[in-house]
Amino acid sequence: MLIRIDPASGIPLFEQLAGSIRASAIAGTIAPGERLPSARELAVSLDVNVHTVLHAYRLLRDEGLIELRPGRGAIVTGLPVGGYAALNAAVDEVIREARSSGIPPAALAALIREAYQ
Amino acid sequence: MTRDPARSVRWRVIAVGAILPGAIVIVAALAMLSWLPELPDPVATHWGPGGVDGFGPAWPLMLLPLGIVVIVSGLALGTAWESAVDGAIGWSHKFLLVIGVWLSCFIGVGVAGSLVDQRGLAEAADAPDPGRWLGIGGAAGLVLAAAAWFVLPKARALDDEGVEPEPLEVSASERVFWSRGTRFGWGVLTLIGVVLLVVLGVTTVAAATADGSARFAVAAIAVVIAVVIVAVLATGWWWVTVDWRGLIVRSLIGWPRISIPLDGIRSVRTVRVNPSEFGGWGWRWTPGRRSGIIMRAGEAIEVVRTDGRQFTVTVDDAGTGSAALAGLLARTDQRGA
Repeated sequence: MLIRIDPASGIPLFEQLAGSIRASAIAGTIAPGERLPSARELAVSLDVNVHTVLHAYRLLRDEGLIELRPGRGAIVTGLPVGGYAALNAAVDEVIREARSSGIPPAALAALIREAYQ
Repeated sequence: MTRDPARSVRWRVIAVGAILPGAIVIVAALAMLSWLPELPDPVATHWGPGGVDGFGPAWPLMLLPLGIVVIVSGLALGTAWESAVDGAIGWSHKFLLVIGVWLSCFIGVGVAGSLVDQRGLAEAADAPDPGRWLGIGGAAGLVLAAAAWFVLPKARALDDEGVEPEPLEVSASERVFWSRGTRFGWGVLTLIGVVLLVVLGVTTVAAATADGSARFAVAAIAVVIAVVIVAVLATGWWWVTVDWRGLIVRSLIGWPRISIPLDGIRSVRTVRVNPSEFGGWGWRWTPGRRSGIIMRAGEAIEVVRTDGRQFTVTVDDAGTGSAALAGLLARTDQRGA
């Protein structure tokens, strides 16, 4: 599982972190039943406060994507049957289109965010 | 006729790992069976400085070489098989396989020899010491094992150039984390489990029948089994992490832990490894300053340290892990420049 966050991007860190994990789950690089790193470990690895990681984990739990079990950490749960194949295909298509039009990643993300809200 | 080199390797491994030791102990068992009517009952089973000091029925002696060789050669065959299918075995596979050959000869001739001298004896207490048979078996075993070594294909290190990952583009302020678990395949775990169960079973039976000093030996074996279980747990399941600290490979139980900082890494590649390159599975060292956490054949992250040492860890999605590490390395280099 790859997680990337950028304190300079202006988006709150916990949101970026949750978004990164969500993206991994949707793309299928983390599977249901898989254990996420402990909040403490992830906080050290990403050089952020442990509360930031816990904030992100609680957000994902409220979305039904992970389960928080005392002592066992965070476990990936709620993925629909068949995953998000159609969504992944659509995302690939959007990225291809953005590349061919020379739109940078940040601009594409902003476009999607605005349209979605 | 077409020659398939991998097939020839497979056959030679089967010949040395199963057919030869199997034939020796089966012949020994059949020979002992044919002597059964002429043997005293019980037979002498153990000799001390003053002559025979142990007696027992003959049938366990007939099964003993079979049992031991099935375990040892089975283990040798099991560890070499995955590599043999790929067409190349390592030196440690060859070593284990010929040990099985030597052992089958040593035990087969030694045990059968101890019985052949007891034919026609009225009292097993008069049985001569079988030391010379053990000597003959050991020596013949050495000759056979040496021959078997040359029957086996040459030990080979598969050299794989690997691919340089396309480094992840990491901005100056960005934080990157990649992590993935890696563990022994079920085949290896099953093999270890079966061997441990067999040893455990033998130990339990021995503990039930043992007394005095034998009990001490049984306790020692039990301790060895416990150590093996802990060693398998500690080195059979790892977490591989890439972050600002570099490459960290940590055992599931937290220790051992291998940490290679970013400024200690010269380069990173994605490679395909075969366990035979490292002489088998687990936490391995090889001559030539290479070490690795080898849980299976296939894709792996390989780093060359600044001092020239290499470290390899087999892990799924190694390409992403290498790319993340390469991205972090590239950023460190830019900052340094």
